[in-house]
Amino acid sequence: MKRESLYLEIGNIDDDLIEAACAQRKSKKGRINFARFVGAAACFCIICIAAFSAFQKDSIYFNEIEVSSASKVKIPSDENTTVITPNYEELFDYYGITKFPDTLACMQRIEQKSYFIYQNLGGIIYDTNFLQYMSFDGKQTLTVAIAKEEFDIQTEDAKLSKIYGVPLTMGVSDGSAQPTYFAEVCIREVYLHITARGVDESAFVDIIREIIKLQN
Amino acid sequence: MTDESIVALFFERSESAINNTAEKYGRYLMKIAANILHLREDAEECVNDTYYTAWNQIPPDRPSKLLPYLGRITRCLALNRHDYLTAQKRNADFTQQLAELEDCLSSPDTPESKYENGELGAVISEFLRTVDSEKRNIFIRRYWFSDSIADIAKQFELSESKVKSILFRVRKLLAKYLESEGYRI
Repeated sequence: MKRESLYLEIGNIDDDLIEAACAQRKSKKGRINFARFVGAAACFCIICIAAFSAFQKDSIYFNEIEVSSASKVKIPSDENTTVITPNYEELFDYYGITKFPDTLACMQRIEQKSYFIYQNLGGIIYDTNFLQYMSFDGKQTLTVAIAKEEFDIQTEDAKLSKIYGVPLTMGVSDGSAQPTYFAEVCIREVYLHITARGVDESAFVDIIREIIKLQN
Repeated sequence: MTDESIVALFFERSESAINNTAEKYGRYLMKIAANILHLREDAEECVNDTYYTAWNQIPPDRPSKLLPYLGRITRCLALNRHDYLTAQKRNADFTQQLAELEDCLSSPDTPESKYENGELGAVISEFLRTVDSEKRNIFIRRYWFSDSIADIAKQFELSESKVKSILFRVRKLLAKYLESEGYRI
């Protein structure tokens, strides 16, 4: 076959293919311009995020403090007090924050049948609940105290840290043989008090980062 | 004006059929002819011959899409004219296009073939539908519209070497496809 004949045979390809190739010529410019626009927008976003991140850089400071998990709130127990016992899902519906995961840094959440919220005729009076996490060997433990209504802030005068732009107080207690790390943070008007034992400083910071990221 | 209306004018033997065709498709046809022929005068003559041929063929032909229909006539006329022109006047780029197509031929310049006239166009269409749309359109711009590599690179915003590379690969794929379909061309 001669190449000229093949050229003519190509001439017999389907009409829709020819029209599509013709249309591509018109639309290509627009598509590329759009792609350029998207590219430029993406670059702009990256620059903004980088600039924002620079301002939002985490700052970690561990205050040396005596850790106490005791609450100063006395739960009234008169005839007007009622106790609501939500399950895990209902508890987080009440707090209005994202449910905590079953596993945090190789520690498993210890299942609890129900949680407690105290109320009287005036409304909720005490709603502090505790989530417990523990490693398989029992050497690492993590306690997350959550409260919406009233909370015992242990570190009012302490120096603040910042993770993902969220201010929080972090501390360490060296009173015992094994240091206890803690963090207090308020997210969407819900207080979290996190205490960990058996983990090192960087592992604790990673846990706090994970929790804040989860809630953001 | 729609293609259907223009074709209706051809059927009515109205001379405005030619004017409307020229208005709507003259630029396309001129581009195809100029891509194949070296001189503008030759291309203009080729386009005028296209209108004349269409006038003679419609009716009985009733094309649903005029661009491919007229483009085929222009390509055919331009190729014939290209063949008759002296070597000095030939369009080097179009000669190069034809040379590129030899990649798809298993034995160039041999008369034997097992395909019926026009059948190969359908097979090439089938093959092109298997190719990524951008590559397919580049192939069609090159071997149907006879656009230069530089023009295609500009249209598709690609480098010339990228266009050449795409065309090379598609030609090789086409050769393989034709062979697998039992065509020795």
